[in-house]
Amino acid sequence: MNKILLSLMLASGCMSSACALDLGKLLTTENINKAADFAKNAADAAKDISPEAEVAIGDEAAAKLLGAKPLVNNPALQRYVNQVGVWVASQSEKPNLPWRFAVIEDPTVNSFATPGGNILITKGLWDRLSSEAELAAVLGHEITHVVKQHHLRAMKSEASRKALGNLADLAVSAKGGGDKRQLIGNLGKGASEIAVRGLDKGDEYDADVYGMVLTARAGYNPYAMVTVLQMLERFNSNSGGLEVFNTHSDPRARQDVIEASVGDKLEPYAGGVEQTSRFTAIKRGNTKPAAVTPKKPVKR
Amino acid sequence: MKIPFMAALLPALLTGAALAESGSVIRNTELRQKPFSDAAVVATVSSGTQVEILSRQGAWMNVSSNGQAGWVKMLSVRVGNGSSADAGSVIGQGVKVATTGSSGKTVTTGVKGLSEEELSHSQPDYGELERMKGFSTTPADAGKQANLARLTAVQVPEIAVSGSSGSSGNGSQNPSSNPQMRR
Ligand SMILES: [Zn+2]
Repeated sequence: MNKILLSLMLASGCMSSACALDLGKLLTTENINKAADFAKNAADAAKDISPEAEVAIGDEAAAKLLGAKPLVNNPALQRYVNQVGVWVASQSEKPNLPWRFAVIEDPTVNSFATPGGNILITKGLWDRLSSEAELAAVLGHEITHVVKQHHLRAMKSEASRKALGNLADLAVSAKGGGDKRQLIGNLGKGASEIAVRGLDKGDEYDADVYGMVLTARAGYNPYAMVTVLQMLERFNSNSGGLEVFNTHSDPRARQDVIEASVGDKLEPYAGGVEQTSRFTAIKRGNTKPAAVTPKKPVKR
Repeated sequence: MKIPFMAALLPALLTGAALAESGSVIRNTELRQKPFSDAAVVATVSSGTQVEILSRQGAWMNVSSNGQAGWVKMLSVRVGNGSSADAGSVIGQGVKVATTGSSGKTVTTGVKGLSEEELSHSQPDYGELERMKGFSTTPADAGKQANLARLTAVQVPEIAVSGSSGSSGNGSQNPSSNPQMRR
């Protein structure tokens, strides 16, 4: 794929036929060079962000999200989702990001990720998960957004839409700030906004498919992702769509893409773990899982 | 096993048919005696047939239809009634639904969930962020705990996304599945 061409389209917003009318006038050598430079900046914007800056932006975004919805006051639950989340993230190409997971006080069914490795799921979603494999699938989906830098790329294309060369310009335009701290603050705010607004469908499909791969790598039944989507679908039709998984697209379309992409490719791993005693212990509000709960035999 | 969790659900769910989960098969499918591709065929169900969902196992779903029970692939079934009346009922309840043209994603506002509007009214909470960091763990510890939970890591190759252009109707905006994003 021609990166420059793609980013030129992104940068100039020339998706509509209206742009073609002006092209003749604009095609001077000088303008072409300018446009190419501009597009290159936009395409490389994510690269300009160092890993440290990515984490700093992510922390700003997480602080912003937590300012709206605090942590559920249940340390055992919070530690547990980190155990599962870090285990799943360890199967990705970025096992050493500062991965952090949390359940936030929000009755709706949703989940969020920020750059750098902060992942938040709502209490409403946690309450509806029925196995550790389902939790792993949800976290695997969000982990994919982080690993593939979907939010940074969404910010980059927002910069393009606003006819800015790069993320730094976006940050400046957001508040007119100058110093680095302000910059990170503004970028973090931008990342949190994208987290609640949601990503493009293509990124969601990517996160489902790669999330299933991560779930399988972590030793779980990857089809728990399908179970979660069917739970969401059932939930949507029962609640009149009131509490939809609102930053995520239609569960039915997502299952269609999983079927086309994954199909039976992951069936060799379908005998993986579904349930664990630590999950059922946390669900019951028991903080000492292994000691009290007898292990249930894993299916198959 | 689902019953205790039901207590935690909102009344909105309880008024629906949440207990008897139903769905319909999306293609002509064989109903098998066991959750294996080479298990004996009990019956054939045609596309669109309503089924009652009894249980799930691995990639399979135990369903019953017209008095016959058997196993089908989970991905051959879509749950719910399949109508797209949801948006209508949401609007009926005074909740705003906006579909953005460029991405095709549906954004619902006006619910109690975390929204951009709510975000704009809130201040970053760095104390809460620190608390969140305090619950984190290391890959080594998570690995140890996973092994105690009888989990072991498995080698699984990456899978490319396909079939998204048809359902989204917007395949050109999908740079995420570009080879350049893959490692
Ligand atoms: Zn997502």
